[in-house]
Amino acid sequence: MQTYVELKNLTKSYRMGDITITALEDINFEIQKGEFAVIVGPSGAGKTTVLNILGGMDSCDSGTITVDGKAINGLSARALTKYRREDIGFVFQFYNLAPNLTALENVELCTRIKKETLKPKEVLEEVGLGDRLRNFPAALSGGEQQRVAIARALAKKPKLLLCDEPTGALDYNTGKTILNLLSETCKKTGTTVVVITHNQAISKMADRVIEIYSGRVRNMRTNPEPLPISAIEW
Amino acid sequence: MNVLYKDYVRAIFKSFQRFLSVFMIIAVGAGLFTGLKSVGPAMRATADKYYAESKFMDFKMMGNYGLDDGDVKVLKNLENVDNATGSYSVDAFDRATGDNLRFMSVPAPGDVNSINLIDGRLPEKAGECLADAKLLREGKYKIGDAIEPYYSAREGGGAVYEDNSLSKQIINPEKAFKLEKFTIVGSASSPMYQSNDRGVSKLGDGTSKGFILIRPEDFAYPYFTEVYVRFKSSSEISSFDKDFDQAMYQEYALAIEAITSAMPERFVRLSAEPRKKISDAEAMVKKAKEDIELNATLLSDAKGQLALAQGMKDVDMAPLEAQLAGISERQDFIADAQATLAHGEARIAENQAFIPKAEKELEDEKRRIVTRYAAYMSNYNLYNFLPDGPAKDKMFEVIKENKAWLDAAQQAFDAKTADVANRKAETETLSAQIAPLKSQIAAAQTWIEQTQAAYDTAYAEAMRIIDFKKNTVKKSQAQVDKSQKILDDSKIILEEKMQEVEDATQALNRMEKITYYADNRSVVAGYTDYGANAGRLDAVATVFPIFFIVVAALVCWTSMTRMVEEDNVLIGTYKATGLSDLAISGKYLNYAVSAAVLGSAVGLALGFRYMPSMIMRAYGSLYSIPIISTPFHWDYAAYVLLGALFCTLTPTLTVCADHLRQCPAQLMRPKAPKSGKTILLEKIKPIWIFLSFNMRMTMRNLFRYKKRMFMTIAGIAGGTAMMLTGFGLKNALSGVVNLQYGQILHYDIKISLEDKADKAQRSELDKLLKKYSAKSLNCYEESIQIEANGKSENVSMIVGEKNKPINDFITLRSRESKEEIAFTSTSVIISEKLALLLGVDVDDQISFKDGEGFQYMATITDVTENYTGHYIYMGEKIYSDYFSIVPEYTTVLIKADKFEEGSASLIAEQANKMDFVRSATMTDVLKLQYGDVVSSMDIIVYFLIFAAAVLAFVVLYNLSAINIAERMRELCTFKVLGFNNWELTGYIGRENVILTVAGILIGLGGGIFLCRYVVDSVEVNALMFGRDISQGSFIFAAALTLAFTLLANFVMMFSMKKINMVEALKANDN
Repeated sequence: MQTYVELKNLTKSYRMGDITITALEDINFEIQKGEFAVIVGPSGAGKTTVLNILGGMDSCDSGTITVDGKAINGLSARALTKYRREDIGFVFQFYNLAPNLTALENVELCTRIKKETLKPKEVLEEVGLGDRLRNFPAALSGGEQQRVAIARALAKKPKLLLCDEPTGALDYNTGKTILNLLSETCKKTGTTVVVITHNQAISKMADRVIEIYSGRVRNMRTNPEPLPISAIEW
Repeated sequence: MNVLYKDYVRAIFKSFQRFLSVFMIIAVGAGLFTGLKSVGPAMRATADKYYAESKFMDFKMMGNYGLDDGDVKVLKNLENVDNATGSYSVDAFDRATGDNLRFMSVPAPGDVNSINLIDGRLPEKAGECLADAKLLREGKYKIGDAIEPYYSAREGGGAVYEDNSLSKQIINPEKAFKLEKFTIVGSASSPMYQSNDRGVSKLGDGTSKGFILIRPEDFAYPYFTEVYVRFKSSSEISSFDKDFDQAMYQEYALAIEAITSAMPERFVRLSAEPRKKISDAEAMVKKAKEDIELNATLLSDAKGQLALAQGMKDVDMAPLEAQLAGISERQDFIADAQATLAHGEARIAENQAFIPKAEKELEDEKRRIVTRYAAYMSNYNLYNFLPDGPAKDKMFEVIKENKAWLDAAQQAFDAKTADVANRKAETETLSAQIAPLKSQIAAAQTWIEQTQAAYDTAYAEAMRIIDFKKNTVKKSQAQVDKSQKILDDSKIILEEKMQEVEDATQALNRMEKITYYADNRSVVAGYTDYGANAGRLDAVATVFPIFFIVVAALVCWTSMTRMVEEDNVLIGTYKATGLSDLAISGKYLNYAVSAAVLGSAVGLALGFRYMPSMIMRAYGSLYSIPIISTPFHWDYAAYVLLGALFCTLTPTLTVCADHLRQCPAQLMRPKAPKSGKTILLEKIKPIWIFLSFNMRMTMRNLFRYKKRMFMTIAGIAGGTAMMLTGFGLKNALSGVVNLQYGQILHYDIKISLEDKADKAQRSELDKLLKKYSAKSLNCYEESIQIEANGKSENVSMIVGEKNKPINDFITLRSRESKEEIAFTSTSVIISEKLALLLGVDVDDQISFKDGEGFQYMATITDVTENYTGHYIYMGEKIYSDYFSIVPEYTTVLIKADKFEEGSASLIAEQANKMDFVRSATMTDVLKLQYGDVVSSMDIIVYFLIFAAAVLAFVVLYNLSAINIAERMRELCTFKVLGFNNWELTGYIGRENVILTVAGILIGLGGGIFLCRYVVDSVEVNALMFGRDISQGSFIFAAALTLAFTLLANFVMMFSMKKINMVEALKANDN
């Protein structure tokens, strides 16, 4: 195993008028390639900020981020766009599908901006939506929409799959299914998956758990034997 | 509430962009609506104000004998008449320029048709005048120039002064002026000339060049040639009111009735002169008759006296003469007697003295002789003694001497003695002789004295008698002579005066009935046109604002709906907090009202104040109406404000109400975006599969927001259509100039000759033309009135010369097919616009009137393309047939040799110097003048383009902004997923481009019709605008719209860059 993602001495503060809010203070952690990592912490702890910086949507004030040996801190907006488009797959809490595109088209939309991609139809079949290809998001349930979102992210063959509260808008069972899909994907395809959640229970299924509290990493541990999702209850 | 209020205000500033766009679209919409709507009314109000201020006439009255002060008074004193002003006018040429000018009297301030002084000052002294401001503007005349009017009635054809002999004598244009020259001291505009058209003249080629105002005192007319009348009610009702004509007609009928019933008095005044002549002459006749009678008596008396005197006996002068002879006889006797007496007495006295003395002397002598004798005897004795010798000789000598002396002495003695004796005797005789003489003399003297006295008395008496007779004869003769002369004179006078009486009586009998005739305002050039133009703007105003109103309403509607919908979470929160519905919706209502009220206010200010005056200023070069009035219309203001409030408040209220009905939790939940749908296009597989992924996406998005799609297309189509209309209007206008002077009229100069120009003079002109190798065509031109279908138009009639092709100078062709029309001697070809206005076509009949008012009918043989003015081209044969006269070719069209640069102006210049050339007009000058008109219309074109641009930009900007706001989440997601700005802009931009292209295409199509409609509505009678929109206009309209679309998209791309991706991850937003 090797260190695939590494954050070192990461700090980030927001200036809101005269007040400076420190969001992140000296964050350090690393994730190995192919790991299913969970960043867990209460609301306002700074998880989303970490994800934003890791996803190339925001920049840090100081510190370094290395993904697959490439430093992404200090990259230009253009390079960050390229990074997002080629290296990162996103799964959002509210799926963020283009409502005017069918499931297949939503996936296709993303595959069109990268050279090497998976076949959208195959990916959708993979996530179990082979029969819903031509449906518009409004005609899909929340879980199905999230599957489409996952398929959209996976189709790009990302180095890193970033999921921000992927079960936040879903009911318990559906949430479980989605988490199962994510972990299976991680294992099957070897994609490094980072899930952000406030749900401590989920950390039990992770290979690596990073606890963030008040802008700092309070604890980072690895689960030698992660539990299958079906074994977790919350 | 205070905090809430702050929130209300902040809401505006927080989304200032949206506020601005709502405000802008309302302002632009309101401005254009009110602006266009109020232009027509403003033009009318302006004209009404001008008419009121200048007291523009309602009608002008003329008469065969003119009108006099009494008539003016009659009209002025009428209850319904505001004012009546007598005026003089006459058409005459200016000697220097040959221009046909109308001379009128300067109205006093407050008079009907009072003028507006533009430059200089009013005429103050005799011989000063004001010139038409147009004349000065054209640069041919300037202040200080002298105008020298001369009148030359046209002979043979053309308009002739149509008065009978007596009134012509009274109002004789040849004797119109007291002065020969007038100096321009200023310029003015008159309400009698409201457009650049100066009307039809009775002289020359029938076209007036302008007017000259001189003091009424400088006119020599005895009566006014016209009286301008303005009614009181004219100020109370707008001149453009549909009831105006009817109302004025009623007033007019009253005025006519009054002036008609005042006719007998006018006749009395008018006939006063001949009647006075008659009575004067009659008095003279009477006196002459009396004189004749009196002098006849006098003459016979005098003749009797003369005879009497001449018959008187002459005085017998013989006794007097005898007396006189006696006297003189006696006087002679006295003289003789006295002489004799004197002589006798003197002799006597002499003798008496002589005798004694002589007697003494004789005695002495006797002694001496005795002595001597004694001596002698002694000597003799001696001698005898003496011897001979000397002594003896000597003694002899002595004796001899003694002897001689003795002999002499003896002789003397004897003589003397005899003498004495004689004297003694004589004295005695004399004494006896003179003794009676003395008494005789005395007696004679006495007689003379007595006779003389008698004679004197008798003579004096005789003389008295003679003198008396002489005088009596002389006196009588004089009396005879005098009486005879008076008699003769009186007879002549009698004859003369009787003739005079007869003449004057005849004149009085010949005087025709007074007739009055009147013209209403329609004869004032520009009056009808102006109203019609205002009406045309009304027509334009009904079409154009619709785009803005519809688009503005839609944009406001969407924006406000969107704003409230975006705030659903906030509304939910407020509601959950327990704020009242009113307090919650107050924010949005405040926003809506603020935007509507502010937008309306700015729009109304622009619309009422600036737009009408801008457009009117553009029209200002066509109409000389100097005052600009832009009234405020409460009704339009109310419509606009209500409309704006409706457009902003209704969606706000509807959405607010809709939202407030829901429970807070429902509100706070994210609202599912509008779901996607399979669009119709997808079902048409063959097309759909050819579309790229991006295109499919775009197509779906387009149809997803149909309302927005239609709005965008409508806005862009409207903008494009307006721009195309603007360019098309310009095409239409410049087409007039380019086509008329580029393709229709080819001659460079039009020369009109004096009617009396003879062959020699014509050959002088020919020589000039030859010099510059210019080509020429003779024709006859006249202004006539053509009627058909109850409509009439003033038209230039051009009669071509026999067998001369006219097409080298004027192209006669069909506009559509561009095929040339053959011009033959029997052609009757009318210009296209004329045909359109009269509603006639080939083979239809038209009727026209000549100068004498005779009416003729003609059949149209062809209709020709023409853009300015109305023309009828007639072959010379058909002209002669109709008018029964051979046309006089007094107009010469000249085409300069194009290789001789500048020769046209040289020809014109030199031709103008020729006496027999009335005027030489260069086509280039007319072209420039029309060019001015066209460029003055540019402002309307630019305005339309500007408005269209604003429309296109505002619509696109607004809709793009809404589009972005509505799809923010989608865009954020895409951005997060790694789409770059280009791709993002393209995502929305593609939609805009498609909509723009669709809008442009629809707009271009619709623009053709809109342009046609507008061109038809704004076209003036005398012009036919071009009907073709140039390719360039289509390209420009499309390109400009595209440019504004790109600009809007460019602005959009900026906001794209600013999209915060983190937004996409935020849980509950959107």
